[in-house]
Amino acid sequence: MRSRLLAGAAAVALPLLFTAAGVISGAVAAPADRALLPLDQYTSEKGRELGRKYAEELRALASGIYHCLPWLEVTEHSLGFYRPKHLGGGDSRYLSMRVFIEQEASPDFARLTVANQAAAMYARYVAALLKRMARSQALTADPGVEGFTIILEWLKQSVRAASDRPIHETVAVFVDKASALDFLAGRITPRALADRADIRLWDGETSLENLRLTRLPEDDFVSTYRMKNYQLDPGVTCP
Amino acid sequence: MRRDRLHALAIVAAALLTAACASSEEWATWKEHPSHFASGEHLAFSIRNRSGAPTRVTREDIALARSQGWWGKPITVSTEQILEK
Repeated sequence: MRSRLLAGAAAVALPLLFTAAGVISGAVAAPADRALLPLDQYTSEKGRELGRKYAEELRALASGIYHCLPWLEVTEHSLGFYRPKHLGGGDSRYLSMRVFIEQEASPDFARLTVANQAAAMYARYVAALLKRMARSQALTADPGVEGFTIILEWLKQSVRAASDRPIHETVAVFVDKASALDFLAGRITPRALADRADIRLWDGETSLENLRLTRLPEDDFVSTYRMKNYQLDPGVTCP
Repeated sequence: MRRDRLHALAIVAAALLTAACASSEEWATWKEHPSHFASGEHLAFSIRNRSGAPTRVTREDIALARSQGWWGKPITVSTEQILEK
């Protein structure tokens, strides 16, 4: 009797669990939650209110990346409505996300200058992530959201002793909302978006000069690459 | 004196040209082999090697492999230097 009840409950609960969450199953809610900036950490009511209002959208964004781009890791508490420091006064809130890119050691990549590595990463990830971040029409139409910040970091490829701490290279891309929407609607080219964006670069903790992208290679890696033998969790679909 | 200046100028010009060529070569290589980097393939590989026969790799496996491969706090710019909460 008890086992029949359990089986019955599972028959009802499991499909509900998988379908209610859309693309994401309940078992993986935790990674998405870890990515979000907790509401009590916002320093202004405006930021907190945006965080509260779009919590589901942010969870869906984090979960989508977690499952569909598994070589990326959204840094803990990095997904939220942050204020870019360089904008100075006011409380301009940008939907922001910091992502660590897992990658294989590659002599070709190592040979690039830091600026060219950053340009390659920009070409590969910024448009793809921006599209995901701007998927919610309500969010993009909200006047409280003034832009988007995408921070990409990856392990610096260098010869080092096993005891040395790893060094990350980081590029931060700030795009105002008008430019982002123009790009997403196809009104401006990727090149024009790169020209309008504010792009900053770090080698470890050292700030390098702002990056002007002189070359912008076409790169469809994110939309075409499939990790070998990778199996999506039950109930998860990737566009 | 004038010859010394010309000599120095030639050296600088040669250095600039060499740098430009190296940069073009780098980009040519990058454009030819763009998929040589940036994938989680090695994570899947290490999971397969650990368990023997090739298997399906789940997202949880990847998270586990990644956490086990983590080797210390990285030197990197803090988010607080870029953004305010």
